[in-house]
Amino acid sequence: MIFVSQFISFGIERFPPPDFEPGTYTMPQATKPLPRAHYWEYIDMALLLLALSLASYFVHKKRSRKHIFWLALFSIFYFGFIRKGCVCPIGSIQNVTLALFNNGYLVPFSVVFFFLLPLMFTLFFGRTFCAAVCPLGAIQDIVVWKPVKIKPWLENGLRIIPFVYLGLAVLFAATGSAFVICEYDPFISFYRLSGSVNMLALGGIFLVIGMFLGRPYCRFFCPYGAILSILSRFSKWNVYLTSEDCVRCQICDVACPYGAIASPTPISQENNPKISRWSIFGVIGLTILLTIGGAYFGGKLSVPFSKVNYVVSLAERIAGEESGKYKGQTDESKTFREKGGSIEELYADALKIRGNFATGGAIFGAFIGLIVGLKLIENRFTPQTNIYEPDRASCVACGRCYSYCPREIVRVRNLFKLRSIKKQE
Amino acid sequence: MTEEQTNKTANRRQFIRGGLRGAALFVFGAVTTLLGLQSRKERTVWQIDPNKCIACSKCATNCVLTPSAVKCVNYFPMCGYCDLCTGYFEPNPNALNTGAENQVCPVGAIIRQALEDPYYEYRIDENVCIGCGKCVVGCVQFGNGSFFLQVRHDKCVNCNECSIAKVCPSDAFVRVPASSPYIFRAKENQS
Amino acid sequence: MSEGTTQNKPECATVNPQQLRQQIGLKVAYIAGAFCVLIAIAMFISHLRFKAYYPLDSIGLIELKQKLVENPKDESLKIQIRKLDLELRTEHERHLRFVKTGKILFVIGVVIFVSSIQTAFWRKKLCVIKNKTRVSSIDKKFYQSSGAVMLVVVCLTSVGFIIVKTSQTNIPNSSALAKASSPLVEVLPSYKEYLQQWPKFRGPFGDGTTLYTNLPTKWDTESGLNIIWKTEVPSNGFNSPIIWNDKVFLSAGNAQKREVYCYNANDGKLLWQTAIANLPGSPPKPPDVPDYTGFAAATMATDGKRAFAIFASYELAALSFDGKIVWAKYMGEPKNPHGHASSLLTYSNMLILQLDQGEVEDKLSKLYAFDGATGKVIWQTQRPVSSSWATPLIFESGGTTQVVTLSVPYAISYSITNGSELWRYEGIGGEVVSSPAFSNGRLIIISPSDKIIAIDPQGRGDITKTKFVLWTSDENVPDVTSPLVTKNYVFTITTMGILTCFNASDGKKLWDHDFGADFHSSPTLIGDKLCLISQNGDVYFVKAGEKYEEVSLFKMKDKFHASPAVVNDRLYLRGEQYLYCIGNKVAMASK
Repeated sequence: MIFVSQFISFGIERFPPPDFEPGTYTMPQATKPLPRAHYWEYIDMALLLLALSLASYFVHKKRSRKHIFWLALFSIFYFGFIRKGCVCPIGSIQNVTLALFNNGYLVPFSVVFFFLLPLMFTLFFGRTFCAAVCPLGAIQDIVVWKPVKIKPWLENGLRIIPFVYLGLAVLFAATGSAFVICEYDPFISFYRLSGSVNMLALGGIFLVIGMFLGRPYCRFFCPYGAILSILSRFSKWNVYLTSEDCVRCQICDVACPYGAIASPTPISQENNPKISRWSIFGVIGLTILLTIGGAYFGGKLSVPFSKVNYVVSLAERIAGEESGKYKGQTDESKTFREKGGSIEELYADALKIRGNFATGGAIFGAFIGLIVGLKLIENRFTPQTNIYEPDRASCVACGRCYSYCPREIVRVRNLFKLRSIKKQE
Repeated sequence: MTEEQTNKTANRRQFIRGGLRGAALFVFGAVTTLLGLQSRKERTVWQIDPNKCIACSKCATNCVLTPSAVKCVNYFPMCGYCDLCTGYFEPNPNALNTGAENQVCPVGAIIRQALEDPYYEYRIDENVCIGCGKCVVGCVQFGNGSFFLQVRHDKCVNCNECSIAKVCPSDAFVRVPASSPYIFRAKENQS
Repeated sequence: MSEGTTQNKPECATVNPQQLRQQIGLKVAYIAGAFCVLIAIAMFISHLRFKAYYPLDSIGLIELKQKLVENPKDESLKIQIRKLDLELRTEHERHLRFVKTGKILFVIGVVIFVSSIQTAFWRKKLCVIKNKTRVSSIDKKFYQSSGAVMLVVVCLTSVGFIIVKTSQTNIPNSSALAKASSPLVEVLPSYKEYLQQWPKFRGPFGDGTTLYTNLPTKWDTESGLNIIWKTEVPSNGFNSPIIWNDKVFLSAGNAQKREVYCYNANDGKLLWQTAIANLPGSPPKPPDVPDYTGFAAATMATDGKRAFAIFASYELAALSFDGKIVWAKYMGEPKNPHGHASSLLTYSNMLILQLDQGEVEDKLSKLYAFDGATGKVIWQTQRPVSSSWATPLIFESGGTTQVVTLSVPYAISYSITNGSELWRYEGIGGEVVSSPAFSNGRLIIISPSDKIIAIDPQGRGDITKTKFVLWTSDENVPDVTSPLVTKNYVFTITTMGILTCFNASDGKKLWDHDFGADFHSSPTLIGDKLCLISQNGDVYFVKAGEKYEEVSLFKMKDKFHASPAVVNDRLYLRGEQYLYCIGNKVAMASK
């Protein structure tokens, strides 16, 4: 065997291609239209950085709803309609997870960038990403019509759902089973103006609900928002109103369509230190219990959850056919049998993946238990204030309150006057 | 609560926030380092591996686009230019002509053109093709296999999770580097 | 009591221009909204109609076409089909056009809608609620919020509980699997018997040595001197013959067919030939394999009950000794630029296959141990290496039986029992074809690009820079043939025909000799003599000693790529045209 690198020929065809006389026929080339050019990646990244910087500037320095609104329109136009949404920071959670858990998957650098940059900005400036950069948030923000207020305690309860969604998305991505966030992204089909009827309808429903209930997806589903709500709790800067001279007019609370203004909680009279101490121990104990219980219950979910995985669902189908439970074959099982794969190996693979789901499910359950427990602890330790302030976690920095707070208006007017006096001097 | 106490609480809160922020930055750093080992400069796009594809016709209906971004490709160097093209004609064609009763393609996207006797050229009109793969089945079973389905990247919007890949029964959808986004059935002539 | 209500009569200042703006904005918003809804409904209806007209699903057309097959001369039927086909396609196109326009109209509607509600409500005067501040005590807040949180948790848990309770699985669990797949106990020939055969590439030890010594050092195809028989064999296979008792196996193949041949070792008669074809999953057309490797470069192997063969098309088959296929599998689409060449090995009940392909980052390379009787995978390991053409070596050292594999960039040794990695050596380069050899505690491996390496296989982990690397030499490194190692010497022969003898203990070159002929066949040690066969049929017998000493030199009229096999004081040699059986006729007669 002499190993000379040499052109590999086509081998034998059933019908040998004809030898056309030279010059009589030019064989057409099979075209290969290329995807969007690579440099667009860099444009996307640059625009994301720019949009986030502008949003942070508008929220904290300009304190201007108008500027935020126009930036949101830009984001809808560019990140929504032009870029068609993929990969967005919300979906990138899954790519990053898959890359961390699966050595075979290499995540593109731009996706890592889209994942991390908004997180970094949130860590310093609060949720300015949600305000005007996220195309999903922006579209919900501009359709708000007559937002109804829902009771703060109910809102508090419903805000658990994004964490459950986040946990599920990470579990399914880590096991290489599905990208649920992308599969159930309600607005992407709107931006593409194409998609399955179900998803288009879901997007429509979200938008119609969004007219009367501000940002339903962001508040009660968005898994990225769940991460951001944690990070924004300890952001360096956050949205604030003129807290020193709050007149408690409550107008900011009425103006906020997202229920993100925390109302005053006066010093409790009935606060018995002994009872209070017991209730603290109570919530901490409950947290530990919830975490353990969550882990136990989460592990049990492996059988139904693992069916989302391609290998497991194929193994289920094959096993069902083998035992005579199902009649006939699906395309999947037929392909598998024709390729002559070993059924035992398939079962073994499926059981291994189910094992991963058992571990992952337990971690998922423990995570949910922990989040619920922390939520309870946080509720117990609510800081006592007597003013209206945007809540760090749930405020999406849309800037509506800036234009309504009477003290803010006075402040801006004074600032303006001061400037003009300085100018005159 | 006295003012001093309030200040103290505020300071403590500031301190805890700073600490947590530092911790979060540390986690980001760790994740970035881990991902640094796992990341690539180039992004990926979806493509069908023609060797795995069974032309089940789900590509036609499951793409987020209508008509689908998956189209049939004829790779001419493999094509036999047959008169009786099993990708073009029904299994028992009534006659070897372009009559609708003889054609396999449900949308009439294959253009048959006579060349020097006895050869015929088969081109695919991608604006009409819906990617159902009916022609692929015939060509692979009885012909050279020069017809195969490919994701056309001038049309594909490159969803993070391809909705056809989700339902593909033979697991034929793979992520490929964006710079070489096609997998043709034969080893390609590089020249 | 704690909640403020917005139903209180608000005191809104009335500003006329603002009211006007609001009224107009609202009216436009209602109109635009209604327009959007209408468009959406129209598109939905069109979608439903489209489903009915979907050209793929038209049962009517399929039925008509079927009818035409039954009555091929019915002209009216043809016209009917054409009419329906046209109708379907027109409808399909009309729908696509409609959706296209619909989308644009819808977006325009949405834009108008959004801008009108924004104009209407931009800095809308809000109502100040007097005398009512939403104040609630911390405790109340806590209990309410916690209650809500727990309620959501309870809801989610019960949904989860229902899912768990209603979900079933069909997959049998692992204990049942183990029971079902426990193989029938089968008695394989003993190891002693195994050593007396030539069951795999380079013999029972895999290193080109044999227990048989009584062989002639000269023969002649013309006069028939010491030729017991010769028989015609297919030329399209570079693999060496293997022998078990009275059966000689070899394989041959090309793009059309891949076959296993079995000859009678006593008289050279072809006993059977079996084609390996149409394996489940294998493509109708085999891959392209360059002629210099061919489809049957890998030597077969046998465990005494079955003969195993693999082809460059990745068709792996086990055949019984009467030529029946026991099991066969397709190992997937080959990604090997030169075609598969690594030979099969047997060990006890196992069949070992080194399937290295692609580049390192493709992660396609694997080492398999199959159950020889059933073809089930006993273990398999992913290997971080690129394509290789070398055959692995199974040897025992310090109580562990290892299987050592060569590839770029690692030589890796695995435990034969479970495939766990024992040690690895980094620094193999080039196109790895030569197999390793082991003798007297020294493992000799070849890195074709630069060096010969002697390794003490008792090391564990990465041994690249440890004392377990005994010596390296960069002199006369072979690239196709495998080395031959004795207790004291290491012999290599390069493709260009330079035979080199190294001192096995320190790697010093003792002597070399240039034959001036091309070699693809690896050296074999018969007694104290090396048997070397060049491509053009020059046969050399050389003393395996401290000095170069020629025993005999003669020519055969054939071309040789395969290595010889020695069993029962006979030497079997596969040429391009013939399979030769060589031995002392006298000695045989006296037996």
